[in-house]
Amino acid sequence: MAKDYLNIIERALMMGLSDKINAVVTGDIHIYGQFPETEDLKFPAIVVQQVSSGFEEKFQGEKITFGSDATSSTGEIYGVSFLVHLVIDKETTIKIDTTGNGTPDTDYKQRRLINWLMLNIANSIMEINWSDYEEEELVITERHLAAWRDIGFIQEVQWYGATAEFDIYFLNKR
Amino acid sequence: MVSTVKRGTINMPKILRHLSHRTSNVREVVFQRDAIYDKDYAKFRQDNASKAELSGPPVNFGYETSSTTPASFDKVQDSGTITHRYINTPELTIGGLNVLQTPVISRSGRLERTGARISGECKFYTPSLATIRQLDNFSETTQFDEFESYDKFIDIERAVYTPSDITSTGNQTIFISEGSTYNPGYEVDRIRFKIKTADNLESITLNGQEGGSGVALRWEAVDTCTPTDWLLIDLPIRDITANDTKEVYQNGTGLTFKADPASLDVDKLSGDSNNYLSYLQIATSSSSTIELKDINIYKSAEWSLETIKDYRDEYMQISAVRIRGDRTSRRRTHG
Repeated sequence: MAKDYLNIIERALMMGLSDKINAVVTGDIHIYGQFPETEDLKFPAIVVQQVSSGFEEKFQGEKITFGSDATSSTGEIYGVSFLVHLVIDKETTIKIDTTGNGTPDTDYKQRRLINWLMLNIANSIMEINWSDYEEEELVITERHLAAWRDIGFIQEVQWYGATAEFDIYFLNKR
Repeated sequence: MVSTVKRGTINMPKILRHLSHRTSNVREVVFQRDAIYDKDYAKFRQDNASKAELSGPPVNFGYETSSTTPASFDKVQDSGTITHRYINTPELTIGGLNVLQTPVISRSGRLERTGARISGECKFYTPSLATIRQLDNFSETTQFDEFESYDKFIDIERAVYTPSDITSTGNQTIFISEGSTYNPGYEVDRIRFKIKTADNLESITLNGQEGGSGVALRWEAVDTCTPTDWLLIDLPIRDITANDTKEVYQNGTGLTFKADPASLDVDKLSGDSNNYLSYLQIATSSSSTIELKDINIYKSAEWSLETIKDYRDEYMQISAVRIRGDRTSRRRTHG
């Protein structure tokens, strides 16, 4: 029986992202699965939406070795794509460490906050140590956060937002 | 206390009462809202309490668990203490709501990717929310505040079997097929009746014959149900698996009924001498007087509320769609 990799990765990604990004700010950044109910929504909100998945690369004989287990198993590289949405409203304020002394000191709002969040979400994703968050062993081979896009302001609701594509490749042991 | 409900310029309950003598477009529907379960949250790394606590607020994975057990936990944050809280929220099933349903598109067939879908749409005109909130059960449960999108009204689309009212004592057996009559089961979805007795209602069992063997669906009262005043029971009888539970509301409190056994598959009962609905049994705890009325084994129409126009003290106009439905002929053919 194959492991439930898609759920394990999605949950580890959400836990890891929340843990990393919240560790460097004063104020709460909220992570949601797709999509938060309006009663739950608080800003800044990062929404992790899984949009596609499938086989990425097969090996000769469909054989792999997984993690510390040296025995040969059946499997391949599998890919999963996420859209990471970032949303804040006009009043959202987060205190950021601008001097590098580890103490958040300056209030960031609006476009300044969006800019900071985009880069720091990218940094957080790249720094996630999967073994801290995985509920079962994972072998993640690659992760790519592609360009942030649709960076903008929705007048009607007074929200700032941006979206990035994010791909993860992992060993799928069957 | 003096009632604070304003009657408005349109006395909708009175209009509905008058109209009901002239048209069957006035319907007595069952209001239904699905259960709301606890959500999956993580507070610790690996969602494991022995690991380090995650920085930031609890992570909301966004999907429900199957738990209805009240739960709460605190997480101390930069913004203060965030409390995740869940209180038990079982499904709401409250009958006795009179509404005017017009116009109605009962069925509208569409060929879609997954096959033919039968849908419909209609408008409901209901008394004002303040009036509804004074009704039996609606006034007593704290779970009901107002109608919401995706709430459902369950209507009797067609009364299939309507046994006579009963005033008797003790357990009751009501025959649906007698002698050489073999009534089919594939048409029916739900059973509805009103009951009054000083005894506890213990179970409601619908029996049939499938392939010549006896099959049954027994709704067993898990909570004590003593209907000393008229109590409306409305329970599903299609697509039930053993140990499914449903709620019957009495004085604003949900009483759980559990399906055990659930070997009756009404779609298999095509109405021949080996496959038919045979009888209904209503069992009570003793042999006091029992009154049963408005017994109806029926084909239901499930209307999902979409748009709610609230004319404050006057009435509400609700646009609803029928999202589920199937062709009865196919039920009979393919079981």
